[in-house]
Amino acid sequence: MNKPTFRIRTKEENKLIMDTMEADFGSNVLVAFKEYDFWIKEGKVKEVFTVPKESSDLITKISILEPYSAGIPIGSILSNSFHLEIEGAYMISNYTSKKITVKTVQFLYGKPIFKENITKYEEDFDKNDQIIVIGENKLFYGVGRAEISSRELSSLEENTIVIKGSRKKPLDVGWYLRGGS
Amino acid sequence: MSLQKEYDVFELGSKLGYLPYMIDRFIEMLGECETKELIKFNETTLPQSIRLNSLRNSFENSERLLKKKGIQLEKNTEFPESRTITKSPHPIGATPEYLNGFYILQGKNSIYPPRILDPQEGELIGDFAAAPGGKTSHLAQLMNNKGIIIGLEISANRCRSLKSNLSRMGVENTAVFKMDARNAKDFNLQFDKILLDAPCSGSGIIINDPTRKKSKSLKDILHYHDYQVSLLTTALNVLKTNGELVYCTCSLEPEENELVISDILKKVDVKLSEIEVKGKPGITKFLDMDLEKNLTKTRRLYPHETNGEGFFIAKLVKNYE
Repeated sequence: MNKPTFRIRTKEENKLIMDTMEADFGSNVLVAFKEYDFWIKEGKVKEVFTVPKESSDLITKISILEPYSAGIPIGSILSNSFHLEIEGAYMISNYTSKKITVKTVQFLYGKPIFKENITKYEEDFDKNDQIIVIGENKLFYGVGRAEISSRELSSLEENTIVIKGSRKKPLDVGWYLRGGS
Repeated sequence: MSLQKEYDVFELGSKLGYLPYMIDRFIEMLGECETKELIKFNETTLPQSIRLNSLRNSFENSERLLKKKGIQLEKNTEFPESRTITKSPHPIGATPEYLNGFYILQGKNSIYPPRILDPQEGELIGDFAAAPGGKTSHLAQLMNNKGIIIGLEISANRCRSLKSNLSRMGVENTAVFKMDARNAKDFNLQFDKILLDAPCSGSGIIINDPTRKKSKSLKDILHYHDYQVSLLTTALNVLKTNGELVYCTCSLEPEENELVISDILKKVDVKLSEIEVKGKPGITKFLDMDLEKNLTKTRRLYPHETNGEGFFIAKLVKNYE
């Protein structure tokens, strides 16, 4: 019998996902996933879905048929690392202060965020930290990795990239127009 | 082409690019005068409409943000989630609010099928032709993301857009299966309610897709009929006793609508339910056929009458025991 391509996470995968999110965004974010199970879709990368318990139980029961997707895709596992993507970041955005607010929509086109685009950051961040990006009117824009630490911000020149954009990865909600459907 | 000149209906149909058989059939259903109204209306543009998504934001907040952008909205008196765009300085399908899933572009009349199905929190719902997900996400919204929706879609490409739309709209309670809905019995489940927005020839949405004036033959319509009967038969087989099913198409062809329901009424123990939708009652006479009188419980929404996409809607209740 073939190994299922859509299956519930292993204990190790569950730990990897939870530990990564806790390390990147703080322990409060784990609350966002309390009522859900993680499911994995095997492929070139392992796609991670968060599925409400009720749906999760039903999918388990009808194991003869494999879902194409279920619940919300929140990220992927590649080379034993968990990578948070758009909807996972959306789910945790109200539970973390690892956030910056920007005054440009350029990030939604896969473009970088420059020093002068940032209007606020809620908590200090270090180089390589994952940060939720919020736009005007508190709209969720996505998630990105810091190229510099917040302590360096005041001493840097304009046009310094703080967060790189990505046209190819599902990290900002603009991805829904670029390639998400 | 000016539509001011009074053309004969066949001449007008020909000038507007319709295959002659279509005009014949419209006249059979509507008469010459209304056929003219319909095909003239199909040359206009429908106002854009959206459905606000309470899974992502309150209607008030979404409306406030859109107004702030200079987007003017008109409320739909029937449904609190529906709005017509009366003015927009921005492409409505590319705003950050859209990308956050605060709303979806959805034809005014496609609000009806999920509303008529009336899914409840905790129910098991089947959506048997789910892509691109407008109606699926509406079902999830009406259920407050509680209960379960099984969404079936046969095409891999359409599964991809379905998944993307459901994610953007924050739909959690849906599992999508890439499969032919005619195999739904493989789930070994009994659904509380099912929505079957059946694949169809699309003659109700010529206003959005003028290629339909020439792209489908009568043979194609008959092919759709067989497929639709088969889909509906399967769907009713996996519906609970006393369970409810809403069948709809965006076609105006009786073969895809009343004649599908008529075939089903003859072979499955179901009854038609009254639905409260403005529109014309279903047809009971077509060409040389006399159909069941209770088909008047179904509804036909014509574009020129409703200022929306053409739809046929029927609600069936399973009645086995």
